[in-house]
Amino acid sequence: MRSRTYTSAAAPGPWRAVLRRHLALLLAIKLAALVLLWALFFSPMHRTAVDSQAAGRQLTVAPQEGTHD
Amino acid sequence: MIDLSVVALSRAQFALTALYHFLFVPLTLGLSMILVIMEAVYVMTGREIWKRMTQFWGMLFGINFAMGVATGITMEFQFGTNWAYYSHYVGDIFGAPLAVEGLMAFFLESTFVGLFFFGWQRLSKVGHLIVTALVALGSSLSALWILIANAWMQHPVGAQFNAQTMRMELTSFPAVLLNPVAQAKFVHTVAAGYVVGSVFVLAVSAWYLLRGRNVEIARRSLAVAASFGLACSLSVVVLGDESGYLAGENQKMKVAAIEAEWHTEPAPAGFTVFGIPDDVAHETHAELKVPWVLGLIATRSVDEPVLGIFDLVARARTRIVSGIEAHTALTVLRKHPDDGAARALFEEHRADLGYGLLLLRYVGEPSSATAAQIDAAAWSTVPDVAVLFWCFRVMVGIGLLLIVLFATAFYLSARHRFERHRWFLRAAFLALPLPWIAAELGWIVAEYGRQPWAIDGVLPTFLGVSPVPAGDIALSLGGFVIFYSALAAVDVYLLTRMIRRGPDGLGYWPGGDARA
Repeated sequence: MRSRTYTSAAAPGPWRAVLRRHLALLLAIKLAALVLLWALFFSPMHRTAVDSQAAGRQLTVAPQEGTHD
Repeated sequence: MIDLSVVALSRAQFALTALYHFLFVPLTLGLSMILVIMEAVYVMTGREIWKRMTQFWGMLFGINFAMGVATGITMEFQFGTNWAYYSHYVGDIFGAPLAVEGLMAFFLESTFVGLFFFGWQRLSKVGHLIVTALVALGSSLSALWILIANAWMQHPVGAQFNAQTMRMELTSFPAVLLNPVAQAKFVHTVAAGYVVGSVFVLAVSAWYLLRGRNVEIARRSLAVAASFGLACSLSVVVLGDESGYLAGENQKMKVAAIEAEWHTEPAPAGFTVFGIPDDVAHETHAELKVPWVLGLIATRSVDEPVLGIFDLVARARTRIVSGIEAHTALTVLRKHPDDGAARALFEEHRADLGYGLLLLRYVGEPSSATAAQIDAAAWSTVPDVAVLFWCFRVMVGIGLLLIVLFATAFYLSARHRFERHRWFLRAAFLALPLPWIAAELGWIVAEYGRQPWAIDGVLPTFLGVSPVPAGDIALSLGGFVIFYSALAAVDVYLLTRMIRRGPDGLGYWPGGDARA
C-alpha cells in the first residue's frame, strides 16, 4: 500500500468545527421549535381529559355533527 | 381538497408528521448497517481506507441522525392531544411498546452514536466495531418497538375490552410482542431501510465516479452498496410477500382494496397488473390480469378464494347487526353493571362491538339504525380503492426496478467495469429518490388501507379523536409543515454540502486516483 497523507479523524479540521457548530445550532433551534409547538398546541392545558365516563359517553352516544371523517 | 373537519385535520396532521419522520428513519437504519459492514472489513483486513470510509459515511449518518432525532416525538404529542379517546381506549396496550422503545432502544442508539463519533481514539478496533454494531442494533430495536405498536393497530391481539373502564386491557404481553404481523412488518420495514441506505451509498458513489473523484472510496463503497442492496432488495420482496399473506389472513378488506377485487373470483385469483378502479361504480376499467398470482400470494394455495369487496361488505353487514346487540348490551351494562342478561348478551357479541360502533357515524342510537344506515356503515369499511391500488403498484414497481439496479451494480462491481458504463452510473445517481418514494407509499398502503379503523375491527378512527378546535389543529399542522420542511431542507443542504466536498476535500482520503 502506498503512503498516503490524510487528516487524522481525531484531529478536527476547520470543517469539522464548523459542522459541529452548525449541528449544535440546528439541534438547539429544533428543540426550541418543538418546545414552542408543544407549548402552543399540546401542553396539558390543551388536552381533553378522558375517563371511563367520558369514553362511555363518546361510545354510547353519537359524536357531534361535523366531527366525522 | 382537505375536509376541514376535526377528524380529517387530525388524520392529516398525523399522516404528515409520520411521512416526514420516515424521510429520516430509513436512511439512519440503512447507513448504520452499512457502517458495520465497512468497519468489519477494516477490522478484518486492517486496511486504513475502510476506516476512512466508515468515518466519511458515518459523518453523513451523523448529520441525518441529528436532523431526524426527535422528529417522531411530535406524533406522541398528538396521541395525548388530538387522539385522547384513542389513547384512553387502547393506551394501556399501545403505550407499553412506545415506552419500552423510548427507554431501551432510543437511549441505546443515542449513547452509542456518541461513542461512535468520539471513540475512534479511545476504543480498540474491535471495541469500536462493537459500538457501531450497537448503533445499528439500537436503530433496529427502535423500529421493532414502534412496529409492534403499529402491528397491534392492524391486528389487535392479547387484549380484551373492559365494559367498566371502557378501554382495551392487556391480557397477554407475549401475544402483543410476538404478533406475527409485527414480526413481518419489522423485517420488511428494516430491510426497506437497508435498501434506502444502499441506494444512498450507491448514488453518491456513482456521482463521484462520474466525476473521477474519490475513486478508491467510491469503488469500494459501490461494491458494498451493490451486494448489500441486492440482498436486501430481494429480502424486501420476500418479506413483503409475508406481509401480504398475513394481510390476506387478517385484513381481507385491505387486500381486496389493494387488488381492486370487487367480486370474489374462482380460486386461484388473478393479479391485476393494470386497471382503473372506479370507487363510485364499484368496478375496475381496462383490467389486465395475470392468472393465479393473487391467489398464490394471498392464500398460498390454489383452491382458496380471495374474497372480493362485495362479499366482505356483506360480512361487515352481518357483523354490524351483531355489533348492534353488543352496543345495546354495553349501554345497559354502563347503567346496570350487574345485569346478568346484558352481560351474557355482551359476551355473545363482544367481538363485533367495533362494527356496531361504526353506526355512530350515521345514527345516535345504533339499535334504531335503518337498513340503509347499516348498509352505509358496511360500505364505510371499504378504504379508498384507487389510492391503494396505485400506491401499491408504484411501490412494487420501484422495488423491482431497484433489484435490477442492484443486480447490475453487483455484476459490474464483480467485473470491475463501472467506469466503462457511465450510463449505469448516471442511472444509479438518478435512482436516489426512488427508495424513499417506495417507503412512503408502503406506509400509505399500510395505514390508509386500515381505514376506517384506528384499531382494526375494534375502534373506528372517527371515535378516537379529541374535540380539539379545528383552528388549533390547522395552526399546529401549519407549524409542523414549516418545521419538518425546514428540517428536511437543512438535512439535504448539509448532506449535499459534505458530499460535494467529499472524502478528498474533507481530508479523509486523497481522491481522484483512478489507478488505485
